[in-house]
Amino acid sequence: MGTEALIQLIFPLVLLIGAYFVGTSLETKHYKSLRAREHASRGFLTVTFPYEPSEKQVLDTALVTGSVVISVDYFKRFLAGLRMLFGGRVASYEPLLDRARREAILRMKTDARDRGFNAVTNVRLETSRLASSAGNNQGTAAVEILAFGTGIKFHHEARSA
Amino acid sequence: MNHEPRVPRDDVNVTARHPLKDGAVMLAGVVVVAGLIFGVAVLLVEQLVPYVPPSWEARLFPDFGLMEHTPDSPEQEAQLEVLNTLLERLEAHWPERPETLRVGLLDTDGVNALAFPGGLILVTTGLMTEVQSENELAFVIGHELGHYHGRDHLRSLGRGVALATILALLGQSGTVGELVGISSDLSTRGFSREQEEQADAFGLGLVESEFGHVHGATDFFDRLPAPESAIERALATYLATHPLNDERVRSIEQLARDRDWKTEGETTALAR
Repeated sequence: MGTEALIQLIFPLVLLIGAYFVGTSLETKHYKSLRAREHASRGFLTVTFPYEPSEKQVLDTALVTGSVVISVDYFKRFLAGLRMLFGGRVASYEPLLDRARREAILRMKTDARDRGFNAVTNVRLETSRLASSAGNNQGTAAVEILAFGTGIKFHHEARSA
Repeated sequence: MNHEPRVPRDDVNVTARHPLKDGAVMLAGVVVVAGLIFGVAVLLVEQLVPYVPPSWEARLFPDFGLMEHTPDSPEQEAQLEVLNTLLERLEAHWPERPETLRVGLLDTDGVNALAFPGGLILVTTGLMTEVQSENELAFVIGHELGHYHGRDHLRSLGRGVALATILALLGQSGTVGELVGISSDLSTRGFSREQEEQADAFGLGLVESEFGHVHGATDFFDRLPAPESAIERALATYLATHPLNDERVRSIEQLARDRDWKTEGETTALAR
């Protein structure tokens, strides 16, 4: 009976340690990739105001989107669980959501560029909570971050003017 | 419209705090606060326990009488007879005993004796076959009587309630609750080491009163195998509620010296 309890204690600990190392490594890698892609696409006009250019300037417009679904790992959830006792910033979730927002915007830019748009205006970010797969409101749920805006294709002349 | 190419900042939306440090600080906080609450609750329980009459105590627990084995062979009838006689002789040395004390058999090869809340002591048939002298058996029963003397069931119940309360508070925070739940399994099983040692002391006192010496009382534990390797030992010490057999024998010998109990004398063979 005692040994069983000990195994029960060791199992979550191993999960915690594993989740920490895997999570940290993935996060470092993702940030590296984010920075590189953000740098490469920094010239792509992305603004939050509803820009309405004159018809002469614009060749085409369409809705462009980029979305990411994220979930937390065991370690981050453990930290957040502790945080729920004390209150304060849930620092362990912050980089996760930061990465998700930036990834969503990058995906939206990719969508726009692939479809031949020169800029995205009226950019908005939406977050929605997805229920956990168990459907009992317990366990790990996921969050979707959606970035969307209006892709604008300029007349070449208008762009250079 | 002007547009300077820019990249997002890394350092605004993320708190620069190492997750391990964050976790360690919070975990330490939880341990300290939960430990304090638990400590206060246990102190409170210890203060209240002497005021609870045994008849109330019995009502707090389920009836364990169903576990008792009715002897189904002449051999087992004889074993039960031996147990009853020995219990009568021992409890005569404890005038303030609860009135509900009773001894019975548990039909299993495992070597063990258990004191159930309410006054029922069950000794396994396995132990009855292993035991060789009256003195050994008297110490086993005396030890179980010690648990009633120390009101150990009530203490453990109080401890369990205190832990369950803390658990309920922490349980709201997911994983933390799971971890705490598992560790609480480890800490509330059976009686504490301290309670076992006090039961040993009380039991040995009864043996001394009955036989006039404590010789042979611990022979039984000497015959049980002790764990060999260091790892086995460490694990057994961590998991065991009873002290390891050889350590137990040593501390019992020490106790006999401290109390000036005779350690030499005749052992009485069991009437079989």
